[in-house]
Amino acid sequence: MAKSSYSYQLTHRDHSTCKWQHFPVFQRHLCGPTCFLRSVGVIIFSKEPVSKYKERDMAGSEGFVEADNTEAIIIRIEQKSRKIESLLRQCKPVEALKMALEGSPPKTKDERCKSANWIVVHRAIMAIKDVDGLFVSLDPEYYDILMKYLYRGLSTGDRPTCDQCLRIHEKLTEKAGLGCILRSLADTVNTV
Amino acid sequence: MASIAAHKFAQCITCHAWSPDQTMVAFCPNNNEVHIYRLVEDKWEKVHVLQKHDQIISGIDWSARSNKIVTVSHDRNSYVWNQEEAEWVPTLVILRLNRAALCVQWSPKENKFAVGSGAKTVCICYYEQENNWWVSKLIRKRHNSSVTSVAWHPNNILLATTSTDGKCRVFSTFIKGVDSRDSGTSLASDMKFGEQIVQLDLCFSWAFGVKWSPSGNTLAYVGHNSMIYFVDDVGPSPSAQDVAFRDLPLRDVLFVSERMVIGVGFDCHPMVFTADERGIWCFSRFLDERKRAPSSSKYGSQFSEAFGKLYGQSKQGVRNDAIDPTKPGGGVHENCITCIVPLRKAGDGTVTRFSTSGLDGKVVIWDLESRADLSL
Repeated sequence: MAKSSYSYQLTHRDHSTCKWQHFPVFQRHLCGPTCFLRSVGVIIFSKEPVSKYKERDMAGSEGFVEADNTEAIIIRIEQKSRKIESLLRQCKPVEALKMALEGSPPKTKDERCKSANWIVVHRAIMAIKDVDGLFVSLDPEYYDILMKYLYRGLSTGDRPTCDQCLRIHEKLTEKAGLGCILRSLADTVNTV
Repeated sequence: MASIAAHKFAQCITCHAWSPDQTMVAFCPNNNEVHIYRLVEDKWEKVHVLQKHDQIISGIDWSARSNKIVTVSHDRNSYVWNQEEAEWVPTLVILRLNRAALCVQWSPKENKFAVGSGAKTVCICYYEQENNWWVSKLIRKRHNSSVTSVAWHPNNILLATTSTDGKCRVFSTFIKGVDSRDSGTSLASDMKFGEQIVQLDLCFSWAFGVKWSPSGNTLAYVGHNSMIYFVDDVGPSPSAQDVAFRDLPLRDVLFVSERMVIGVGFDCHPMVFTADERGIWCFSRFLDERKRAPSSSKYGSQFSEAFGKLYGQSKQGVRNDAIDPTKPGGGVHENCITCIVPLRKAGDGTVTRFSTSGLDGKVVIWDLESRADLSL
């Protein structure tokens, strides 16, 4: 499938044609005001010029490989999103966060994949009520990646998101130390 | 306590080195001079000042057998200092660099030394008898950024480097007429000068402080992302481990044995990393007193087991961290530690004593034998 066919559908107002409606999370968000999308970092879509993708399509087969790969990642994130929703319904927010952080960040430079994954992680982060309880059952291997997503949350400037991220950030720094912050800042390859 | 002596020599020390008999220490007090002090009746006495460089001296190494000092500086030059009677006589080594020299180390046989530089090159310098001259051969076009550290393999041929491009590389430094073919291992014997044997691409940020284990089987280096990397079987198929720790990044490392590494850096407290019988490395403990109690004891007990694997907060580690009442609130060093140097006894391969220096201007001597829990 050519990449251009689903570029920037997030900005569509007509959700019936939008591929992203498959996301249970998205359905709710998209029907709300667009400022919510901005608050969770989706603004990044409009920053990226469409022409960039056009150029890559013209580059030949390599672009299509990338497109297939992107497609696969999007499908994987969709599946993950559904699982998270069901975990949240069962009142297992920590399990949901683990699930969200699993396989994150998607190993791609594609901003749509990153944003889609961020929205899933954001959903799980916001569902956390008991921050102390979170660190009882969250394994240390998730610390570095969680820290990266907390900084992405703080970058949105959205009040409830920042409040929640700061709450978790305090506890996470206590647990994982300054080394964790340094790793999340220093890693310029696996960007979230 | 593991530190047996500490002395503040200057406001700041960029690097230091010990004389072969370890009675004198040479260091750069963050300027263009090398000061040499000798311990006389429990007091440090300044015996020499080596003045020849124009800018800050970034590296000093004192050869154990030939008693020569090599210094490199931001002025892009290097001097080899020979003691003739009471005086230290410098010989200029033209490195042919267009950026600062950053680090220097004598090779194990002391017939070569390696200089890392900001010019993305490594200089291998050797003495030419007929010309009475130190010659510098350059390894070019391999590093994409400044070379922050160099380390010699015990076979005198292989050289490991770290760079601010985040990579650790291993080169052959075979020089015709200086090295003989049989001196190297099978790995190094067929290599030409400057040939890259392996490039380790484990770190995503600046890399510092590379060292070989005493046998040369393991390589350790640190990244500026609070990680330390251990590489076994350096060659075509190396195996690597990375260990994350919870504190500020390291600047330099030292193997005290095949299974124990000391790391020093921005955290001001030397860290001990150990390998278990399977060869799995992990953070073991801080060498000096613990600077702070574990902040959340509430979940500490349930958590420490799993947590210790990655972040070194194991129960054992906490128990061993006896707080020294004489130094409230901290360790011996008060600022970033930039340099760690072994203090070897003559003819002894194992290291039980070593010294550290840093931006606080102190040189601290540590002894592992005084600690039963760290016996090798």
